[in-house]
Amino acid sequence: MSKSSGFSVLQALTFAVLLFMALPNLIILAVSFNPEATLAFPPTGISLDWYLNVFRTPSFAAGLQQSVFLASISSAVSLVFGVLAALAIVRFRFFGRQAINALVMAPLFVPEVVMGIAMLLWANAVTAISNTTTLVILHCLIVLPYVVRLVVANLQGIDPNLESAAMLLGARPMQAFLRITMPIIGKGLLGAAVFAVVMSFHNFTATMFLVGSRPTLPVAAYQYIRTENDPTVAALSTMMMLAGILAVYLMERWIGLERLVR
Amino acid sequence: MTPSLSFKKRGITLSGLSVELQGKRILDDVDLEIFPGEIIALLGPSGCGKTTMLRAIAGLQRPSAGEIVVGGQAMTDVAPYRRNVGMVFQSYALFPHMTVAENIVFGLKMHGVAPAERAVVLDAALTMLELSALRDAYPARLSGGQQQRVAIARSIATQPSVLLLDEPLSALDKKLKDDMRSELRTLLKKVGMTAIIVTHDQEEALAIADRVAVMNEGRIVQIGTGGDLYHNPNCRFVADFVGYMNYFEGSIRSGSDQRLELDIGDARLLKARSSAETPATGHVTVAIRPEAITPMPKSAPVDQDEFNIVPACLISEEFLGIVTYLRFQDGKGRDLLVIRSGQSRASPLRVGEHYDLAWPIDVTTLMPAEPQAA
Amino acid sequence: MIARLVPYFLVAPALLLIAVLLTGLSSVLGWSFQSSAGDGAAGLVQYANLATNESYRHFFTYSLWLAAISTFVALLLGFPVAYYMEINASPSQRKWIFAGLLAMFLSDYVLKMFGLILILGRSGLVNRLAMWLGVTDAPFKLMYNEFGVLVGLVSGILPYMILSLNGVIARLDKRLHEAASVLGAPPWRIFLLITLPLCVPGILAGTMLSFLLSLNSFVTPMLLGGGRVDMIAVLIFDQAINLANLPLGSAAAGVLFLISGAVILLLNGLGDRYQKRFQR
Repeated sequence: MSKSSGFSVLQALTFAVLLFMALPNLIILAVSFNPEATLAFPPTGISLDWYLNVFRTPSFAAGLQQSVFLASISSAVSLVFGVLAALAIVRFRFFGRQAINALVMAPLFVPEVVMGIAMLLWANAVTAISNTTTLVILHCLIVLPYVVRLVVANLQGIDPNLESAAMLLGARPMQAFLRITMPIIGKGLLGAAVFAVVMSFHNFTATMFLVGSRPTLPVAAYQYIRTENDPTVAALSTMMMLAGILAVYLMERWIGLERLVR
Repeated sequence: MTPSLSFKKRGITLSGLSVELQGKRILDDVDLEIFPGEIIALLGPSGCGKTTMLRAIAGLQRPSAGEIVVGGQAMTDVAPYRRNVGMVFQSYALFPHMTVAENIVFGLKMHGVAPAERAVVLDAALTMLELSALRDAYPARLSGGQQQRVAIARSIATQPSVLLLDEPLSALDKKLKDDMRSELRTLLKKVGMTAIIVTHDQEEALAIADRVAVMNEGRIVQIGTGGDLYHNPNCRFVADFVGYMNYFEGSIRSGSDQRLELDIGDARLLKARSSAETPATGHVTVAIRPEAITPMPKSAPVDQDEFNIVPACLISEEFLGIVTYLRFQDGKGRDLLVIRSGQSRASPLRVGEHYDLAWPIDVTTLMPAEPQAA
Repeated sequence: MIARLVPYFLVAPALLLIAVLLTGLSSVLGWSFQSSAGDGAAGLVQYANLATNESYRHFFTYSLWLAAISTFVALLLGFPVAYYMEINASPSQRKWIFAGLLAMFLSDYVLKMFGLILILGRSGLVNRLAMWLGVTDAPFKLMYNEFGVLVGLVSGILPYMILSLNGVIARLDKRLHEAASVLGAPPWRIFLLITLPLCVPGILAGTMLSFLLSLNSFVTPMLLGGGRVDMIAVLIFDQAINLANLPLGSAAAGVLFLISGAVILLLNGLGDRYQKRFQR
């Protein structure tokens, strides 16, 4: 078929939209090297002061610590819980399987503010529980559906005859799982873990309800933006973007990008 | 047949048609003349360019050189939606979100046909292809054969000048395929439109088409009626594509206007009729269809003026029902296949025995010798 | 017997987590029936308050409005990108666009809004360009208003919209376009009659996701609306955290939950009905 002029219009439109989407990130990148203390654009020179200032800002350091803690604990916990649940869903046929599958996916359908207030009220009711523990549970809940979905997809891609073959060759069921299935889904699990870390790290709205006196990094950035007016946040953003690009790269290697969204 | 579906018979002329894709010549300088109302089959292995030729005629593939003329009008640069050719796709390409009726009238709508007339044509097409009961069904609910009939109905509803069919039977199972073969020809002849059918199945091509163009590597190797191709293939490629063939490599010893004598390395020379196309001297390939050969007992009398004879040993016998395959080997280790109709049990032949394989010199085909394929 | 319990043991930890969420959700429901003064059960007082008080009601109607507009704009902007990516782009181009989309999909929402502040602010990119070009003397007011919030919402949901659309576009059968073309349909009619109808499931999925994300958005109205744009999430946060009015906040959360559920059921139902009509 002939490629008419519609082609170039479509192309122009596509790149305009992509530019619109990327522009905030590009601006942040440019501003982060600005030597002046205002959020001016274009920058008047190049300076790394604001990068140093990120590390000198106590709320960022504390936020980073809190975020890393939350992300690592909650992704580890939800990975374990998620893999177990995915195994049950893929490998067993049992009463209530569909309902359980739906329940595990339920957090996806609860608006974040609702989830935030629900966890706040739960923590109030339980009383003897620290803010941080509640946050861990919240983040586990947010990440769990994604982990289950990715692991289920991974497990479904494996020929169940592989484990049977291993067992016919004398492996016990546990050995067959650990030696055959685990190595095959290993990369998928790594990818799911990275995805979980990213989702937890970036969670903002639900987290806002529970942060109390220990903000996470996005919350700290938010509070900084609302009060200060210098490019420190731009420098912070740039560093987080780099981490994000690394995460995308790792996920591409470990699970393939297409699989994340299907 | 309903009078509302009538077709103008149009001829197609392709001249010097070439298609290049990513630097590869898919279609290489093809000339082809298709007469009005003729059914022509493009036969060849996958990748020979037959589908590309069809797509070029439909306007879905831009030729890199050459001309396409349909009914006296140059079509080469006309957009596909202005050509009004009908096309049946290999996968049928029925619109999944439209009913059978909506699929069939789609083309009419596109051509701005008034609703009243659309309804008349729709009824005619539904009746003709026995689809009336399915008019409101969606394609996903239809069987393969029904889908194919919808695809045909859709493609002829606009009364196109030419109908193009891309492997129309390949998605059907064997039994249905055999039924649809004759039905398709009957249908095409009934509406009388010019049609080009692409296929890799020689039986399909011979059964449906008036003429068959055998294609290989982007070129038409030979074109003719089924009989022409079967009995007078001009090269091994055509001979092999249209049925089985036995070959001897040899050279022409002596020739008169009527008859050639051929040396195939045996004590006895083979004989063949000479024709305009056969070379007078040099190396040739001698070809004989397996069903033309009769195995005779060693002592039986044979008219040596009218028959060629090669002695060979029966190696194996395969009874396939309608026919029996007899595999022979001659004194020089050459394999020969003989196909006989009839029952195995009645066969007087014995594996391991020697026979004289005889065939009339009239069916001894000569073709230019080819460099042996590895 | 034990063997039959194995799957239940496996799902138990995950279900325990879900149980916490369900407990929390039921507390939300419970609190929403309390009176604001904290003197016990008050029936539907909070819901009545939300329904009758003009300013509360505005939070809901305005959020729905903003969500609808932003979703529509994201669909208009996202469709060409998804279409280009799946149909016209070379494989390597597609891969890069895809990676870029995912990077944006995974990038921090707060920081994305911060980037938009740098673009839309009083001395942001747009205003500087406009003043430099002499289009205007005084800076345009591009944020802390509806426009700014809309830009933020659209920018936030575009990756989701595109990624929902490109699956369905990738599965389009090219033969159908060719068939329509041979039957006499010019490109624009092919788009309207073949491409678009077959993309409906993806459009509905993207619409649902985008609409819900916009409807529930909190960061955008706070940062780009300066807290002055009435969106439901802001109301809930204000009531629950800043004003410590848990009953009203809970009731608002309950209503939001119901609206979200209704949107999911509606759009999923539409999608199912649309597809069941012509699928096996």
